[in-house]
Amino acid sequence: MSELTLTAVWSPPLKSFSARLAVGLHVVLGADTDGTASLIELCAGVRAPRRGAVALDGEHPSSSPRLRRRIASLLPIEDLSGSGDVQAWLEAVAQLRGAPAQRRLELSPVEITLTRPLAGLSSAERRRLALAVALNEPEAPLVALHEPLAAAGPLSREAVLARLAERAARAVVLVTTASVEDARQLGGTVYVLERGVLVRQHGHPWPSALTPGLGARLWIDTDSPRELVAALASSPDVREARYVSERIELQGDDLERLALAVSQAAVTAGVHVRRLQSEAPDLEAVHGASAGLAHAAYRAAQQQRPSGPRALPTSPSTKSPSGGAAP
Amino acid sequence: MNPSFRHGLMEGRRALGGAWLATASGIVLLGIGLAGLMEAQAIGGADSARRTELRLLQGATFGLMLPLLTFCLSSRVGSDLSTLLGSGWPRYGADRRVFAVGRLGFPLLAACAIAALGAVLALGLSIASSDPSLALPLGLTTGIGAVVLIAALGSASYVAGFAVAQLLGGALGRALFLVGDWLLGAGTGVTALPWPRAHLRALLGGDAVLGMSALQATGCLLALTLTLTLLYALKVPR
Repeated sequence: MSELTLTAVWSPPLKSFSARLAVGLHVVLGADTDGTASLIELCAGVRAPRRGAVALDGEHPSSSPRLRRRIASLLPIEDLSGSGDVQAWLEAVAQLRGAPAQRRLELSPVEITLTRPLAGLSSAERRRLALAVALNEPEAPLVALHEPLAAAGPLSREAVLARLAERAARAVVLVTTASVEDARQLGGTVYVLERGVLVRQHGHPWPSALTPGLGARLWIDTDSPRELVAALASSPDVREARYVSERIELQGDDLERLALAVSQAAVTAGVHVRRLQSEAPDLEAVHGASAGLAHAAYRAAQQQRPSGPRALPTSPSTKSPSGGAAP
Repeated sequence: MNPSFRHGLMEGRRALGGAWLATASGIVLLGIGLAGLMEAQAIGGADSARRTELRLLQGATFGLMLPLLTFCLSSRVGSDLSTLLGSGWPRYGADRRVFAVGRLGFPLLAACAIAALGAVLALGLSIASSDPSLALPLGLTTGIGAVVLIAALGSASYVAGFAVAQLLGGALGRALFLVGDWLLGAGTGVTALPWPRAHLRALLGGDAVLGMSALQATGCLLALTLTLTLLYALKVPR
């Protein structure tokens, strides 16, 4: 079984990044500026770490053509080399990888004609083509993809999810994304990358894990909102229920329990729920939660000290008469 | 042909671009042409005609235009580590070392062709502007083969030298190689040994480094090119 090891990797913006990723689906949540783009480039072997090591089963992608041949990757920017058409490029890639030349894009619809010149493809089409090539690699021990669902386009999104789930059964699948919604769709183990450092790791990308304390929000479309709200009012998991723009907005602490409360209330009130929609937090909220958790951990550590917490100067009004900060 | 080398060659051609190459060729040939016209005014006797021919070949073509052309070619193609690491074909399994050497192939061929054209032009200009009975050291028929060979050797050594310099020191390294070649390559002592300019000058009838013969200078230039290419390949991760 393959294992991807990143040992104290320094490669801006990644700072002493360490991780051991076994076979399965791993989703790293973060923006390009947090280091997600660099992480994929390191795994694809198109970037060498300034310090530290990236290894897949002991081999380094940046210095092993044999390994790179087997890695399936999707980079943030796909500058596909070649001057011919798409078909010629695919055949050249297949030749380098030692794959049969007749292997074609099975991931339909990629909406790219094989006779189109490579130079004429837009950056989104180049990424879509690279994604198709990456997902067509059947024996890749490592699949490293940057924003695959954004690259897939709306039509083939489901196909990408299915293919990733299939690959995750026998390969290390590393996906980086800045979208919590995409992370939720992808599933797998979620890591939060912030300013080059892995700050958190969770078994699932639900709000209780990513944005603890911020609660969860659900939107419900129903024909009988009054009856449903009345039934939900007695539920202890519902913190707030509002009727806004012909939809019910529910707030609670946990998304799963909130959804369960809705289903129970719908059954009790005999109401038909047309649509249940959750609102994914944005990356700023996730980073904010990380900051909140770090602050809470700091406060807890301060309170556990024998001498008690040390007061910090909070405002100019707390200054002592001598001009220094209040103790 | 090795697929990695072939992809490198094509990538070098793509990075260079036809329009850029045509412009560079035009500037080089125009520069040599202008130098030839200026030098032609100074031709009086056999000695001055010989000096003019040597100045055009040693100075204008191989001393000024070839180093500047290969400097610009190297800058245009870019052989720094991040460019090589991020290249598309090695990502799909091409051997990066072979690819990197192949990537130098097209600039080398282009520099060689332009330098040879420039040298032939310089030769033609010097013969055309002097008395036919003077019998210059490099006649048009006997000289063409020699200058093409010298152009090939010179281009190869400069392209390899600039590639190593860029890989080790980026744009500054490339600039330092150019300055080092101009300053140290002008001598005839041990310090002139690793610079292409010194050996090219010797091959064109100028002062030889450490009193070497033309054959030894050719060997030195070949060894220098091979060493620099090998160093370049070894510095690139596979």
